[in-house]
Amino acid sequence: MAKYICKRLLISLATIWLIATACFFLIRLLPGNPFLVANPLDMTNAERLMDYYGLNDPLWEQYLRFLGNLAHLDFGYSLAHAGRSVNEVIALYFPVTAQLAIQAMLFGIPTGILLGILSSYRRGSGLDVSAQMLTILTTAIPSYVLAAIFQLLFSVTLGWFPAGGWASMKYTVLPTLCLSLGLVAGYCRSMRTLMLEVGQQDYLRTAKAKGLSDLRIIFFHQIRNALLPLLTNMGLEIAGLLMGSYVIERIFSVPGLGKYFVTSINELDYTMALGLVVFQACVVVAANFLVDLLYGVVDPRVKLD
Amino acid sequence: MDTQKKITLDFTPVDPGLKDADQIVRPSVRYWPEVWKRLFQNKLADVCLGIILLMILLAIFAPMVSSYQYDATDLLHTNGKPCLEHLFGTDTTGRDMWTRVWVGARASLLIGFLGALTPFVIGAVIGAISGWCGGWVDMVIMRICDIMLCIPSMIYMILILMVMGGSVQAMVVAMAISNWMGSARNFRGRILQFKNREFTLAARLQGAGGLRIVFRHILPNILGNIAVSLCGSVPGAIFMEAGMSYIGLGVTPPRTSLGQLSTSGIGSFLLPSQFHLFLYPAIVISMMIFAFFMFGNCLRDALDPRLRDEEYNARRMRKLRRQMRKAVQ
Amino acid sequence: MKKMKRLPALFLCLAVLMATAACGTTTDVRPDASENAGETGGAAGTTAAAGESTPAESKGETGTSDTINLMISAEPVTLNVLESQSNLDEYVFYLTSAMLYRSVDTELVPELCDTMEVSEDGTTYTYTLKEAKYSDGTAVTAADFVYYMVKRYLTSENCSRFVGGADTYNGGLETCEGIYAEDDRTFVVKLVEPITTFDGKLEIYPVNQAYVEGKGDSYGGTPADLQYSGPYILDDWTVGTSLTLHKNPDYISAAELFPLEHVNLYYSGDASSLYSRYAGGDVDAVVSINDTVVEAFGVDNCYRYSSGNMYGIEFNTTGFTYTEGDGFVSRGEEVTALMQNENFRKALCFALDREAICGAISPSALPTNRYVDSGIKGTGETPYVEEFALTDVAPLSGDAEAAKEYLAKALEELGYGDVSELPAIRFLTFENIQQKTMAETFVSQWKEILGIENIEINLQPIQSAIMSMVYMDYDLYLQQLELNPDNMVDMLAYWETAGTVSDPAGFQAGGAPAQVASMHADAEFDALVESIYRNFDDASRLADMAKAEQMLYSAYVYFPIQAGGGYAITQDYVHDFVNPHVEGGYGLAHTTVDAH
Repeated sequence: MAKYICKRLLISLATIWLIATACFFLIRLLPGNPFLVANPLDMTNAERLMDYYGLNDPLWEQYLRFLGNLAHLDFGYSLAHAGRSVNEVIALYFPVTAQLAIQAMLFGIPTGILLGILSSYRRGSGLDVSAQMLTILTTAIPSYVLAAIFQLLFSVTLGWFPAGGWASMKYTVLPTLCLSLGLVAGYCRSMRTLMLEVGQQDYLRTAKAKGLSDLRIIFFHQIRNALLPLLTNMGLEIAGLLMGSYVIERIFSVPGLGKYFVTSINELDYTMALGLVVFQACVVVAANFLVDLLYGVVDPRVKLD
Repeated sequence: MDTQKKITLDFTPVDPGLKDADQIVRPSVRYWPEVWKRLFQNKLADVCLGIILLMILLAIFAPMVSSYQYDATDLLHTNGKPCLEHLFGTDTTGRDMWTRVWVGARASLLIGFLGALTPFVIGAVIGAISGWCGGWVDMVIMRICDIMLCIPSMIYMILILMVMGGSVQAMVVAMAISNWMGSARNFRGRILQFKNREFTLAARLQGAGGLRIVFRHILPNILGNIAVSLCGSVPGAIFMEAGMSYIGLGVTPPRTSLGQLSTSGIGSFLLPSQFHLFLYPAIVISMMIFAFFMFGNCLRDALDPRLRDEEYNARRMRKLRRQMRKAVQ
Repeated sequence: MKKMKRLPALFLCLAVLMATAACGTTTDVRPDASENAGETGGAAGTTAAAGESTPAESKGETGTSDTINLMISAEPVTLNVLESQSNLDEYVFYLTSAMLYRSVDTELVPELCDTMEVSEDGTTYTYTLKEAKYSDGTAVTAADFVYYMVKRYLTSENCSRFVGGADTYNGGLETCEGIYAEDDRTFVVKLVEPITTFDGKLEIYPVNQAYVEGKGDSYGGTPADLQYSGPYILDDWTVGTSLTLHKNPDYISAAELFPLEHVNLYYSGDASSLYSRYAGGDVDAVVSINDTVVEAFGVDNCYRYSSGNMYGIEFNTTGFTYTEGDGFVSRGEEVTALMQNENFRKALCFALDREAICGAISPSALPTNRYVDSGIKGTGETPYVEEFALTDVAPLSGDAEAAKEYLAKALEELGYGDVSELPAIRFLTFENIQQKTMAETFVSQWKEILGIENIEINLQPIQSAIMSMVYMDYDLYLQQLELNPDNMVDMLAYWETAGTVSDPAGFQAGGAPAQVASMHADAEFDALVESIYRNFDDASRLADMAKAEQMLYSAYVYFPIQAGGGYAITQDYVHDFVNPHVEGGYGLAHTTVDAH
């Protein structure tokens, strides 16, 4: 086990280094100059800043410097927002994204799974049909449209929740709901399919033949086996959520990393964008790693080596 | 009482006619004809297919027969409500929304189809190589996959749109580069699954090469799976374009897409006089995604041979129960 | 730039993630303050800089509220006043820093300036300062103004006006001979010669050099990395969400100006949430409402203000594009000849119905034929733009017939039989919804009226668009320029042969090949504009200005489309909110809020 973890850690580090390298060069291919924002502009000023941040040096020198800083986890300062350090931004706003993601998962995944179980158990019933409808609606309507509808309904008309901002739990309700609806739909759909698939397996027939009660069969045999495949996707799902959603964060004015990242690329803020990419790569790699470990624990057939 | 009845229904005495267990009782039907039959018997699938075909036809012909150009502004008739002349009304600069929506649907459909197909084909080839060759080739390809999955696709998107300009082709190339990894992984898994099966071994023993085995022997086995995942990635691609439009990337004006139309309409969402600018593109894009999505679901059901058994068994079971009830009476 | 001390941040955030996972609350977000702000006026009680707690009061005794919640649609970029390139930042500096002169209700009044003396020859300005201190107790000295002025106020455009400025300027300089502190309370500015655009009423901020250098790269990064001398102290800035400020008790005019105790600025980049949050009663006022949603608020309920910028179409008449590798590359003979043809440019200009376009796309903007702000005073009561009208201009509502005639003339001169033979023309614009719609409308109008079908829109994000503009990689460009109502001459100076618009990257100065001309190379125009700087006679100066404007207009290299504007709205219990002189449209110098 220890050997496996060591090996995985090494691979993870190499992966992160490769991602950082690829992004470093890719982002430099984007045309434009990060300091040309004012209009009318001051070319001398832009040149001075390019020199100051070492952007006029040969690219390999900049790359080595970047790697050196990366080695001691210093992502530097934003180019577009003078004085803002990338580490500080991550420290301040990643918790926000993480809170939303965790809330959405805590609400979305169990709800989805429960709905999936119920609708597979009562296949064809009103509940099943409405769960299916919900799934379809949330899949077919773009999230920005859904978010705008929520704002109009819950904030302007009903006045239950604020339409945007970030101060207390109350402010997290609408964004969490928007984020989690996709999860509810996805998990409901997968769970329903998996339950039906598992329902045809022989061991369930055996359980039935043994005379176990329906509930017992569902809880101890069917659900348990249906849950397993869901775990595989959860790693990427968690990682995706932890990267934040630009659309939701922008509409609800949530200070999350997702919005920050898109803005930083649009602004050609090299240091900020690279710092966030590397950080997110770490999150993804870590999430996949955790899920693999968890898989080994849950499914004894999987051997870690 | 109730449970007893249920048990009696679950466990029925074996029909005397079924005692010859090995006898082939089900009529022999070939796989694909059966799939088509089952697909078209499903009403939902028919409706979805109908919507998709209708949308394709409208996207092709509606702008052709319309008396308005999609990019011709008319500053005298801005923000027009839907009427007979302008079925979907006009936008803030007086352009006919009906024409614009269907021109946009053209772009969205093209991006949907090509944006689903291209990464899929690329991924399939790479995945097949990876799965078939195994060893270090597999290792390298899969690591590249992992790394590419971690690089935010926005970086390529912007890059490609910068180089190629914001056209449909550029969007498709961008999607191909940023989405092939999923399909490669999927395909590799499938190849691995079938690589060591007896029929593959048999083919290999007969001297078939790698390519031939992959395409002639393995591919037919996973065709259904491919069709379903392709159907599922069409709405994904359409959504992706809409998302990129929200960020401000995507097809450049005066060309338009449903994503562009619905994102620019979202600002008019609150205005009674401009509500139609939001409503129609949003409805069309939602319908399109709904149709593809549900059609994919129906296709999956139709392709699943186990469901076919289940149906057959269920039909027989119902017959048996009827007979039993008669017998009880 | 490189500092090891940031090392723990990553671990910290992982730890924070765990904490968040465990308890489900955030750590850095300010405490539950504005939850009831709408009704009680309780504002953020955190104090980062002052280290003193402000009780969250509910209502004043006189039935007024001491808090205002504002919705802004664009966020400041940085708090680093020296590196700031965005005028969005100015709103924050205006609220958090003292100034030599402050604009209060359209007038510049001395704030830290006690007396100002001008030498007889009009070149030396001597200021004595009032006694003031920053919120951390450091005294404000004359050296602080010198530091700001040298570091920030001087640009490549204006540095040559000050003694010693031109010699040393290199995109920011360390010292300047003509700007110095005589002692702690005396600040001197020396001009090379008196100029009309400098009246000594400098809107500059004091910045303490020792503090800035002590902070290094982190200066202005967070509210704690800033010294406050102005009306308010910034408690918190949650990027993408809100800025909260409370009143600075040490502010020099604390008793007279800025009566509100708490100012909360909420940010939303999304037009429909802007409305949702106002209609939901979360905020007391909205600054800069997007033109596309203004109708939801009701245009009649909104204030219109001039946003101080203008849009126009710029023609690349140089015929060259600069590339990093190959230097100057010809854009092609055909398209160059086309762009250099005055009749063709005129045809494009005359074809546009700017009144209808503005009315449809940007109701807050005013169509214009001028290069200056319409509010500028003339010699008498009549505004300058009316007193000195331009002649021979394209009508604001367009003139399709004239446009067609010009086009026909152009085609004949260039030897084309039909418009379909014209080469492809690239139209560069920024990637934002307003400019995009504008460009689409123009192209459609040209197609409809003139039959020109080969104008291609090149949509770019701002940084790349400006890069393309600097390298002249366009034929047509939708240029947005700032209109400074105090300083019309600088606006005209942009079009001097080596001005920032005619020669954006300084190619003329940097030794461009002889065949690469400036966009607008006109020695007579240059001389006229330079003479305006030295002409202190109001009547003749304004007349010369009009003459220069007319010359620029008639050259048809930059065709004005509209003067930008914006809308603001307040709930009816907010008073004295709008101050058109502060560019954001809000000035809080006398704003009061009734209990609500």
